[in-house]
Amino acid sequence: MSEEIAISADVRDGTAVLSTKGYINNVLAESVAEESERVAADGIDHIVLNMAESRMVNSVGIAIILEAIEKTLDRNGSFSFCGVSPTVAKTFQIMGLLQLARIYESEEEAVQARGS
Amino acid sequence: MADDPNVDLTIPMLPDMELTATTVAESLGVFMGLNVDKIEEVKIALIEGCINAFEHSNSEDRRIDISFQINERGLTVGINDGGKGFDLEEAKKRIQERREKGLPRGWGLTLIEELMDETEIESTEKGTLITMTKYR
Repeated sequence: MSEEIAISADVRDGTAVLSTKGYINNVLAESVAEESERVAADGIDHIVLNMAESRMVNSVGIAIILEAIEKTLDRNGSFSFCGVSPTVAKTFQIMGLLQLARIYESEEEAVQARGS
Repeated sequence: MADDPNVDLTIPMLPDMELTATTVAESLGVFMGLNVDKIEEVKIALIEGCINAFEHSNSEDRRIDISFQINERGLTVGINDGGKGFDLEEAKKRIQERREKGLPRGWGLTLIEELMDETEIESTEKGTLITMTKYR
C-alpha cells in the first residue's frame, strides 16, 4: 500500500519553507534532505518544514531528517518545524530532535523566528 | 461471533505495507472511542513494530501476522514476525551503544515502549511477538 507523497519548496524572507504531504518514510525524508541541500546550494540555510499534511512518520524517515538538521546547523543555519501533530511532536521529543530544532505553531511564526 | 470487532491481519513485508495495518488500528480506535492522539500513538507504534519485523526478523515467508483486540483495558495489538527471534537483552545493549555514539537509527523498540501504555516482547526461534496495549 502506498499513499501519495509529495514535497514542495517556497522561499520567503531568506527562509526556505518545505512542505510535505503524506507518510514521512525513508523516501519522503530523502526528498526533504535533498531539498535542504538544494536550497543550501542557493545560499539559504534557514529551513522550515511544514508537516501539516504529514501526520504519519517512521523512525527511519525521522533519522534521515535528523541528519539534514545536523548538516544545516553545521552551516550555521536553522531548522524548524510547523504543522506538527501532538503525536509526531512526542515522537520527535523521544528521538531527540527537539534538542536541535524547534516546533512553531504556524508557518509565519517559524519563518519570522528563523529558529531563534 | 458476528459482533466481535477483533481483527486478524496478515501483511507481506513490502514497502509501506505497514500503512495497511494502521488503517485497521484507526478504524478500531474510532469504533471503541479512543481519542485522536491515542489512535495516532498506536499507529506510529504499529509502524515501528512492522518496520522492525521487516528489517530484523529474517522471516522466510516474509509475512507478519497482526492481531487487534479490544478489551476492558483498551486496544491490544500483537505483531508476530514468524522470524528467527533475537536476544532482547543483547538488542537493548546494542541500542544503548548506538545512543551513546549518537547514531540516529535503532529507535523502533524505544518508540513502541514510550508511545504505548504496555509493551511485552517475547522472542524465540519461532519468531518475535510484540504485544502492546493502549489504554482507553
